[in-house]
This record gives sequence, structure tokens and C-alpha cells, in this order.
Amino acid sequence: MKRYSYKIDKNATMADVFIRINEKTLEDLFSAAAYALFSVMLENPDSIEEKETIRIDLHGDEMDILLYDFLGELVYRKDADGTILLPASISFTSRDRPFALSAELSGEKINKQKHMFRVDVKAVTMHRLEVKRINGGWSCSFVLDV
Amino acid sequence: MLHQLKKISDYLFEIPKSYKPGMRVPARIYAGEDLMDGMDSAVFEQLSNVAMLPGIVKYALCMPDGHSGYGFPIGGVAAIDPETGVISPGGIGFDINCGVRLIATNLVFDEIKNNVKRLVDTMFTRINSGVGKGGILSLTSPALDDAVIGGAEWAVEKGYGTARDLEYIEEKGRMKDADPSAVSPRAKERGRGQAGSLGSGNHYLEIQVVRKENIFDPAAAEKFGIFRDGQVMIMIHTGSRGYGHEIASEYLRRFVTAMQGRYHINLPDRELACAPFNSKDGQDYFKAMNCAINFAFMNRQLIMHAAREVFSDILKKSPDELGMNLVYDVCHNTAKIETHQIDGKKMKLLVHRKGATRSFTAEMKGVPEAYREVGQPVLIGGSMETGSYLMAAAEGSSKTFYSTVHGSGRVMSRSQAKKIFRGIELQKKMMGKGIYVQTSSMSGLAEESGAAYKNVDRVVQCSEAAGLSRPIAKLIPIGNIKG
Repeated sequence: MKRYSYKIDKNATMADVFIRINEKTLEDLFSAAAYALFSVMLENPDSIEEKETIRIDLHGDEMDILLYDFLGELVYRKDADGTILLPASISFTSRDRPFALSAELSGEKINKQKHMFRVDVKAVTMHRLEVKRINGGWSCSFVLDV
Repeated sequence: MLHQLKKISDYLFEIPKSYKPGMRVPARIYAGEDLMDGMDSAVFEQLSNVAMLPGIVKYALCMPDGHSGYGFPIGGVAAIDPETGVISPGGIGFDINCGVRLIATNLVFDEIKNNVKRLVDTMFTRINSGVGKGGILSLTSPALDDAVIGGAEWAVEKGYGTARDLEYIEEKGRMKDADPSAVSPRAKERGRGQAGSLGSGNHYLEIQVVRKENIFDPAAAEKFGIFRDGQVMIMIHTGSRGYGHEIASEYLRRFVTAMQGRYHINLPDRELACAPFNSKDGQDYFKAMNCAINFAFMNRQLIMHAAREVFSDILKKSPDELGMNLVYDVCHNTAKIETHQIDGKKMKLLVHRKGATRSFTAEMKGVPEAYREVGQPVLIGGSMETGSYLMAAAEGSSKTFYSTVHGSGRVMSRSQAKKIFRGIELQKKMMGKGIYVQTSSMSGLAEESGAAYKNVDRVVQCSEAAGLSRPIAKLIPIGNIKG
């Protein structure tokens, strides 16, 4: 599993987690956001093994809302199926409005002996949610409700 | 502190309407100067944004335990005219009807001191906590619909509690406007495996003790069922789990689009996304939110029942013999239709409380008959190290749409707390203080260190001085299950 870097701004929010990410491509930006999400939840996100794979297709008029939907899907699967999934591949099938992405998510059922949880993420918020181009790359920020 | 802040009294500060374009009303913060100094500046920005919500009446309010959140500050209260105004999921929070429940026992500490570890360990095994699926019940989709229509009443009908319990829950444990047809299949799927589970973060189940020196009004305490020095109590803090989180997430998403496209409402933070209360969007959310409120009532009812069973099994007495009576159950993340006096006139208002507790005084409808002389109990969940409070509503809460504090309020972010404290050391330190903790996450424990929170005693003093609620007893933890 590829590791990504992300920054938690510890002064930005008191009870929740504010994350900023810079990446060269939009695909890596979304993958890094997923990695950050599970790094907030788990001591050992690298312990997630690729035992099952599902495919999701999402679309939306705003890139930041697409990120909201994408991360929201990962949060949803954790509770609904008890699975923790990270993107094995992401492709943007439309880079113009409406934006569309297709992703293969791989992971496994939660195993509390193996997956060391720190805290649950209840939701992705709209507060300070942003995806933008910077210096030939991309950046995003978002707040997780924990 | 913000220089535009106007001091109205020792415990009330105002941000004038002129502070920011778009504010419809001033914003008011109830706190002492020391708590004001400790508030992060985002509180003032967020509260002044709340003051922009269409239909907001009188003031955007923040309680003494306020701190920055997302959209609304935690501790935020906004009363909105439902005829002309909006409903905002961000004014309720993702954890709809997160709340606190307090259960009395007739035991004293000496009678259980040798069993605290066993009680905590057994409850930790029996009551699911932490991340993911798992609860006392896994419900089918039709059963879940019945459960969220009935709330705590449904749980009691299924054998999880007694009819008496319902008298001691805010709204008697059931919101009548719940309609599961407004809830998506995804939200149902996300929540149906979590009925009777604590979750994570600052959620907990705690065994507490009331010492004689911590009873501030013995007559009122007795009315609430506290009558012995060293009496053992149980407190539960949790909410509507993934069911409520998904409802809030989905409606927030829907309102962001509808707010600008359909209703032409512009607000500085999309987390405040809203829709007119009387629109189809607004009504759909209100029905779904009420389902989540009922889910949380049902959730806390199931957990209380499990706690009663564990005490009963270990101490070899029935819950009745142990006097395990529900003192009260309060919500602190809701929006409810209530009637209030505004400038001498009765007015129906949609009161959003996000991290704020309803504080109905003695004479008000909705206060249990047995508490008519005292007023509604207000339950303040403190940090797991420092203790919690049982308070009662006070007359001054008429100025806050009958609202008051809900907890200590954080002064340190989770990331900061995790850098400073280590869970394993904190667990040992707490053991030294006589608090046995079981947790599903050591780093999660570190984030909940007492030092990460405001001084709960001071928060309680401020809410008393501001006339919002008054302390009846302080509850000291001796055993804790942290989610």
C-alpha cells in the first residue's frame, strides 16, 4: 500500500480534525485524502490488507463535493459493511463539469485484534472543505468530525 | 478577546450586529471573563455566522462551555421562527441527539469497591464500543423503522426497561414527528447493526460516586434520587451512531445544493447549509432528524438495560433491589419546536441546540411530575478524570430559550492532547486516583485527558452565575468504559 503525506492543523479546530494535503495529481490527492482519513482512525493504516474489492462511480458539479462524497463513501462502508477500504485505483472519467470518478476500493473486514483504532470518524464536514489547483498540482483541505 | 465584544454583565458578552455584514441579530456569549479569554477566536466567527441564519430570533447564543466546531460553535443555540426561517443540520451536528443519561442506584461505594473492575470489564465486554458495526441488537430494516418511530418506548415494549423509565427521558424518549420514509436506505443500512453501542471519541459509560461534600442542594438531590453519602451512579454519554451521522451527512449535501440553487440563501460557511423549515427539504430533514433523535433514545435505553443486567448479575440482586432508577436523559444535539415568550408574546420556535442542553424550569410542560418543585435535571458530562455534574434548570434560562451548558468544553485540540499525553500513562494515573478505565483505544484515551478540557467546576459556576442552571451534585468517576 502506498503511503501519502498529509498535515493535521492542530490549532484549526478544537474537537475535530482539520487536514491539508498537496499532491501532484488529482488521483493522488483523493488517494491521499483516503489514506489520511484512515490514519486518523487507525494507529496502523498499513495493516489494511487487500482482501476484497468493490468499485464505485461518483459524479458531481463541484470537485470539493466530489471529495466529500468519496470520503463519505469510505466512512459509510466502515459502519454499514464493517469494512475498511482504501483506493486501489482512481480514475477521473470526466475532468469537466459534471466531474466523474471511478474507483476500485480494496480492503477487509474490521478486525479489532489487528486494526488498532484510535477514534471513529463520524462524518466528513463541509466546513473549510476545499479542492484547488496550486503550482501545477492540487491541494485540498477538510475537517473530519470525530 | 475580540475588541468589538461588549460586556453586558459579568457573565454575558455581546457581538453587535454591526460586526459582520449579513448578521440579522447580535450574538451573545454567556461566560465569565476567564472562560472568554480561553475561547478560541473561531467561536466568535462561527457564532456571528449563525446570526446570519434566516428567521433567527433575538440572538445567536453560545453557552459557557462553548468552543469552536464546524459551522455552529459547540455550545451554540439558535431559535428560528419556523414560519419564515430555516432548519440547519449544522446547527444540530452529525451526532443527532448525542446526549447524557444518569441512573441512580441505592448502593454506596463501599458495597461495590471490590467489584468495580469486574463491573467495568463485564460491561466493556457486553456493550460494544469503538469503531464499526456491532451493538446489543442487529435490526432488520423494518424493525429499525419501528424502533425509530418508537424510540425508547419501542425498547421498553421489547423488554429493555420499564414504563417508569419513559417518564424520566426528555420528550419521554420519543419524538412524534419521526418518519422513516424520509431516511435513505443507506442511513438505515449504516445504523441497523449499531443499536445499543457507545461509539468512540468522548462517548463513555461511567460508574460514579456522589460524596456528601459534593451535594450542593440536598433537598433537590433527594428529589432526583440522591440521598446517601457515597451513592453509586451510572452515566451514559452517546448518540445516534452511524444512523444519525448518515442522515446529517446526506441532508447537509442536499441542502448545500438547494440553499443556493432553490432558496437563494448565501451564508459564509457551507456547514451552515439550511432550507426553509416549511419547504419539502426542510420537512424531510426534520422527519429524518426526529428518527435519529429516537434512535439515540433507543440506543441509550438498550445500554442502560445492559448495565442493569451486569450490575444485577454481579451483585446478585435485581435492578429493582439495587434501586437502578433512571434519574433523567437529556439531549444536547437537536432542533425542536418549542413555545417561548418573545417580547411578551408566545411564539413557536425551532430551537437548534448544538452542544447545549435544554433547561426547562419547574413550571414548564415537559418536566417530569416528580421534579415539579425543582425543575428539569441538566446533566453535564465532564472529562473522565475530573467528574460530571447533576444540575437543575434555573430561571435565567428564559433568556437563552431555556438552554444551558452540556459539558466541560475542550481547551486543547485532539492532536495537541495526543502529543502531550500517552494513553497507557493516563490509564495508570487514573488508576492511582481510583478510576478504573477500560478503553478500545489508548490514543483515543489520551485525547480525552482531563487537561484537554475546561475546568468543569468553573463552567458550572459560570452557568449558575449567569442564571442558566444550578448545581445539585458533583459526580466523581470510579470506573469508565471509553469508546
